[in-house]
Amino acid sequence: MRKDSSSPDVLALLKKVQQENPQNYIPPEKLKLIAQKTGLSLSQIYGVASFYSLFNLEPRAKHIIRVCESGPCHLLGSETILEVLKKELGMKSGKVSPDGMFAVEKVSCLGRCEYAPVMMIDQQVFGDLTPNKIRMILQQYRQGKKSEVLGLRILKKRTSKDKTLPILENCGRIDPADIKQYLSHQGYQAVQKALKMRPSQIIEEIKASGLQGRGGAAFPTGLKWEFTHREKVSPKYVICNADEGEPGTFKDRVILDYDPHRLLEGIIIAGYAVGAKSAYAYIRGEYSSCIHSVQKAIHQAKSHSFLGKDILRSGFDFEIELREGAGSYVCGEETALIESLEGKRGNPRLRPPFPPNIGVWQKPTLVNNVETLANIRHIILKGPEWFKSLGTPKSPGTKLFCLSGDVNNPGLLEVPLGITLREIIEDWGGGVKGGNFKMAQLGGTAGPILGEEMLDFSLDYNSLRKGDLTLGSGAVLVMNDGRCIVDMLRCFLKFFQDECCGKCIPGRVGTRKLVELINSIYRGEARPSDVDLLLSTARLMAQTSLCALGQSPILPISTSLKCFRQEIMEHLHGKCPAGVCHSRY
Amino acid sequence: MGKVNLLIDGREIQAEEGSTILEAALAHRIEIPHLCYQPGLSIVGVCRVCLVKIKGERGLVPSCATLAQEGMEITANDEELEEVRRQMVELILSERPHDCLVCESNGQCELQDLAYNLGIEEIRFPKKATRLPIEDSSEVIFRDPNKCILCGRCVRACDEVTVQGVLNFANRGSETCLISGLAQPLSQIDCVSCGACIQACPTGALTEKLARFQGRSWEFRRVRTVCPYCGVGCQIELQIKNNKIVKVYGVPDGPDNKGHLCVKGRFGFDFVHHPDRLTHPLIKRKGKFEASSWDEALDLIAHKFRYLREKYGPDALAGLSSAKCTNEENFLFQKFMRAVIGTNNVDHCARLCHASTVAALGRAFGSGAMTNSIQDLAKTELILLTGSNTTETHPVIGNFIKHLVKFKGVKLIVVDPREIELSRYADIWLRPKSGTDVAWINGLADVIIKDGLHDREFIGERTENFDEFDKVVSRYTPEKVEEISGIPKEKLLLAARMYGKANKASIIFAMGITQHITGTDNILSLANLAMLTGNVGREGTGVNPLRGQNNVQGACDVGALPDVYPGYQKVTNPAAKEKFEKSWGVKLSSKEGLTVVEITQAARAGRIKGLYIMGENPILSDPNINHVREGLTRLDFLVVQDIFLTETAKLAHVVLPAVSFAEKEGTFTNTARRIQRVRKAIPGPGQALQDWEIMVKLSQRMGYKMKYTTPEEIMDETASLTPIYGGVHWDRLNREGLQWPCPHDQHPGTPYLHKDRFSRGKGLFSPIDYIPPAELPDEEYPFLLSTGRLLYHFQTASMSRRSLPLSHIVPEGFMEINPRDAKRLMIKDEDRVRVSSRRGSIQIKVKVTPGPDEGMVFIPFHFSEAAANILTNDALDPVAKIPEYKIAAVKIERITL
Repeated sequence: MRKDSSSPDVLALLKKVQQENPQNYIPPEKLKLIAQKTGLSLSQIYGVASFYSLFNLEPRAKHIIRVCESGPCHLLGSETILEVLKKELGMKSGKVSPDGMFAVEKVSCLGRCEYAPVMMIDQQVFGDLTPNKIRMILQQYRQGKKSEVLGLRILKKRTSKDKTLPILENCGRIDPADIKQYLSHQGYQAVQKALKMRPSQIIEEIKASGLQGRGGAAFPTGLKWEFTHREKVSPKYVICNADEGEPGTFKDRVILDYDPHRLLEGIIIAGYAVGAKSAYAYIRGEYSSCIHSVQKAIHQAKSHSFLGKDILRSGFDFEIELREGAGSYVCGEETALIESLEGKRGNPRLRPPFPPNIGVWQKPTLVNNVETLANIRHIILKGPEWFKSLGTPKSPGTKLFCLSGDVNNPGLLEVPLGITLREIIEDWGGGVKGGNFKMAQLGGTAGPILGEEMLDFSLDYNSLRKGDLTLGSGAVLVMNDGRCIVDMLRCFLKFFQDECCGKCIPGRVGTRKLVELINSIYRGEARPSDVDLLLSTARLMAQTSLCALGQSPILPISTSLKCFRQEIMEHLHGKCPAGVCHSRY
Repeated sequence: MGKVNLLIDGREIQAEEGSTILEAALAHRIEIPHLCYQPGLSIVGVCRVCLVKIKGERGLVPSCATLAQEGMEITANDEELEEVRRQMVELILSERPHDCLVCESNGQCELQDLAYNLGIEEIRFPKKATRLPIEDSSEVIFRDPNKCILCGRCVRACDEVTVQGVLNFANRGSETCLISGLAQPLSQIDCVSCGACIQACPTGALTEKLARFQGRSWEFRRVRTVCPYCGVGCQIELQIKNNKIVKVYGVPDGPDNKGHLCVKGRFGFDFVHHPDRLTHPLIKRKGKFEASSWDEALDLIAHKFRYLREKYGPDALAGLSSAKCTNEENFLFQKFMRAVIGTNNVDHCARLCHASTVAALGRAFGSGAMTNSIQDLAKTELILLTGSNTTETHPVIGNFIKHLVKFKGVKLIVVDPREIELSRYADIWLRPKSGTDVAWINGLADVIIKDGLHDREFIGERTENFDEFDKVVSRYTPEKVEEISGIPKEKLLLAARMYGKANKASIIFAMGITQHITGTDNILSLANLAMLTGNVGREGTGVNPLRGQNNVQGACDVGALPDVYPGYQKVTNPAAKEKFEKSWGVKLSSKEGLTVVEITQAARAGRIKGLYIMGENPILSDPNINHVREGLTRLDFLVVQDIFLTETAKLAHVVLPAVSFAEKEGTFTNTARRIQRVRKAIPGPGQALQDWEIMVKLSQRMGYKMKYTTPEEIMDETASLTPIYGGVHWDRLNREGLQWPCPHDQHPGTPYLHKDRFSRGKGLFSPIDYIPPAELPDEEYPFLLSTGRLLYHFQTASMSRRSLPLSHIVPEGFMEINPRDAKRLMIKDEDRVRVSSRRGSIQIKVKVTPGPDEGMVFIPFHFSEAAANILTNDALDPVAKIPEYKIAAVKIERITL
């Protein structure tokens, strides 16, 4: 009845039951069993199971096809993918093919935006989809199974005199499944060095480096560590937030897949610095390759005594436990993640208290993003001064950018903070594809829409903050002049509605009202006052929502209206200048 | 608790440290609109209506979730905030098709009030909300999701107050909705129908099903009174239209229930309006009842009583008073029997439930009542609960215990031969064989002493006779206790150490302990255990019997017992006798009277000729009913005064129509010794009279003048003669009542007894040895039968089976049997069986459940057509004369149709 770290992993139990079921769902009698096992009431277990999109409470099919409908995939044809799938599977209505083999669902960002459009069949992701490729994949599934390995898409600068930058230095160069290769690249030397330092010394170094959280909020990492360190309560916990769900964002996935030991080093050092003895790595359920890669890395690190009791004879004990998400964007919010980790619905908590004071199991908890933790190793090894030599004075270090949409070379790039949008698109992305540049969304669905006039703006935390903008996760979604702002807003706002937890009124009702309003604009049925209502509702949500999700729609909406008000207003008369929206006429 | 000073809307206020801004504001009558906040529930901050501004802080903060801090300057109401709130409420209104026109909550809806106060005339969002299906499967709860704002107050009330967890949110985002169980109808899951969700709902989404279209808030007259069912003493508000009770609401500042009620208290009131109510006196002529006038009926009774007294002497008459009636009426009844008839043959059903408690705690401590209070449990570290199926019989206390265990970290040890709901919440559940209580309690004491966990200082300073006690318990080694009780010695050790180590531990018990031939011994043993560990006379400790009836404590207090006058003053004590003789102006008997079971046994033997029964139903409630029936039918004259023609009343020569709790004035004393006001809310039916009025009229006819014009005068007389009630006057009982002892007018009452000094001076240890029960299973009668109550019914069910929802939820009796025994007997759920003991046999439906252990069955005693008390044994505890209801040997035969 009382919950603590020894409580059973509710999401894992649910996932296991679903995987064992031939129809890919969790039947009521199994829910009852899990309720008994976990001490939850029936309504509580139902509340949890129905919250996460990867769980089904009704019979599905042998295979579940999930078609990504987030920004990059929407742009590059997710609606066509759906049509083709339904036609190929002979589906007229409903979610399951007549032969009972496949269920088709729409899903928020799968985090493989450089391969958009993508879909996931069970655990396997397929990218660069075309109608022909889909037909081929379905054919092979009917005959047995098919797997596809999506290649690494790390971008190189066109004029390639660039030195190797730290975060991605190993990606593609070493075999992530072999710890020996990592060790031969200074692997775990940061841990060795850190364990000889005092925790407060490490925290000073991180503070001195000026590292800011790379998950989106850009909170000074050293401060967060210090807050957690200062708490007298024990035990304390570290959580690595690997619930990367921001549409257009796939940077953490690359680290998890290709350099997991770098991440483990960061977690171990963080744990030592704040006084924790155990950590959780919470990885989103859609990242099954990452789950395997990190699991393997933890195993190897244990056998090399980088985890476990008395690490490297320092007297420091530390464990990392892997937890899988089950399909929920809002769980990327740190307090929602904590709730989810405790086996509950992923509702964000009221703050304060903040996790460094009261976090998981009501204990002090440090929650850091994957990319943030991937920076720790080189700050420890090379020192804060070296780190500060990269980037701008107020935004030191490098940043991963996830380039997707209408560009010739989508992929991941690492650059010092302070780069411009134009440089990213031209020098790294090979230019705009399929037309001229119209706009880009920066930092994910919650980010601003930037028009042409912003192409040369310096992308660093400080400059953006001054312009009331954010860098967010580092996603860059490029859209050419054949795209319609209303169509894209519709995609963005639907995402918020689908992924909102439903707990607070502005979040739950507001996101829905925004979708209703944008839909009526899209269909040419809206009045001019509805456009104002769209903006004022988003503003109210920004002012009053319990968590960041409800506060997010204002930025894409207000920046869109700033740049493209005229285009939006034309929709009220049934005209879509880009010729994308279905209008009455 | 310190204070903090802060400024809200320019007003300087002082708030309790640790209170939120909203709590501080509300305490000073500064209005901050809010919807999801409710006192007593956890804070979620989801409605975002109570947002305020704090000087120096960015943005708006939820006042419900922000602590008030020294020097804060808060803007709680200004134009900007009003606009934010207006838009927020507009959002809420746009989500569902809210419609006030025929809403049950019209006029008492927090959403409606807010929309009105903010002047929201229009919803600007173009899309209209679609209608969702209604959920009305429950007998009592009507859920209309179209009026739900998903504030979660119902979810939290169910989870945190009832601790049932039946309700929750499902799905997410705009698909979020309220569900019960696995999205099942309420009727199909373990909803206990307490209605806490209804009381928590700020809108009309959850309402009382049976009150639909029966009245709206402004049409109701509201009367604050006390629930007529169990001994918890929940304060309730009756909502009345056209003299009909339409709804019952838990009074939020009711001292013991804090607004919470159970299904009986909230929904079981319709018996008051049942067509079976007695409306005029009945006289039996040629075996048939005929309606009569009051004059005729009372004349006849007076004549018969006088005649029998003259012919056979006063001790040939006896009276059974009522734990359902008020203190004033019980006082009057015993006065009638003692002063008017001249006998001490007066007793009531306390004999059947807690006579052993009164005897044992009187002997050990000097006061035979719950030592501590209900809310006092919040201060304990550990509860040792034994022989009480609290969540069924005292649901509000049961839920409170669950809350303390789940949310406050209070440890729980349950000792019960049956698996009960609370055993699931227990840290340790000991399952002794029935009737082995002295053994395991001595066993606990032995471990505690041997481990040195006993409180030497307390024992030395505050108790006596410890050494004698120690000698006896030292023989109860864990091995021996395991042999007698079946409790594994390892578990006994764990429990002993857990109880022994707690700084504050509270013992709670009820009929599983008292209803044995060793009932007095059992409770003396519990008293020993508490004294041994110094767990008496402090907050959060004590020995706490849960009394079964609304006024069973009071009926004892005011002397409806054969051996004591009001206030437990012995009839054999000449000084006491003289005091009452002086006050009442007559000579009194110094001979102790007969007890309940002795009275019916004496009637059977022809020694009792006339019996006056007020509000009791011994034909169902007493053990060995066949003998009771024989006794009652042998009487020369039987008078029954009740609100229904009960099974017992049918045997009477004269039946007098009395009124229910809702139709009378007076006081009830609850299990925590709290004397609370009962208020007349509606007129009684027909010619029915309040019990005290009947007794005044009757005694006049018997030649003894009683001059009371109101029951308040009776309480004043009670107070003048009863030291523990010395300071009790009605004008002091308006809200929270008084806990006795309250010896004088300035005394604030006593939340816990025996502080610094036991009522008898020093606490008395009693060396007690284990004695086996009177009748154990054997070859012929291989099963052990235990009896008791259910959540949905009460005592002989004369009230609860005349309540529509209660009788629908549980329409008939059943026998609980373990799955393994059922398999052996080849019986299954819903089968019918014949259950027989040496005293009789009944036919009853089967319910297979792991509740009873192998070899044991359980039958609730509420149901006359399958009356458990036909089977029970009328063997008595030698001291308290309480029968052994909990143990009888029975056999079970399948009935094949």
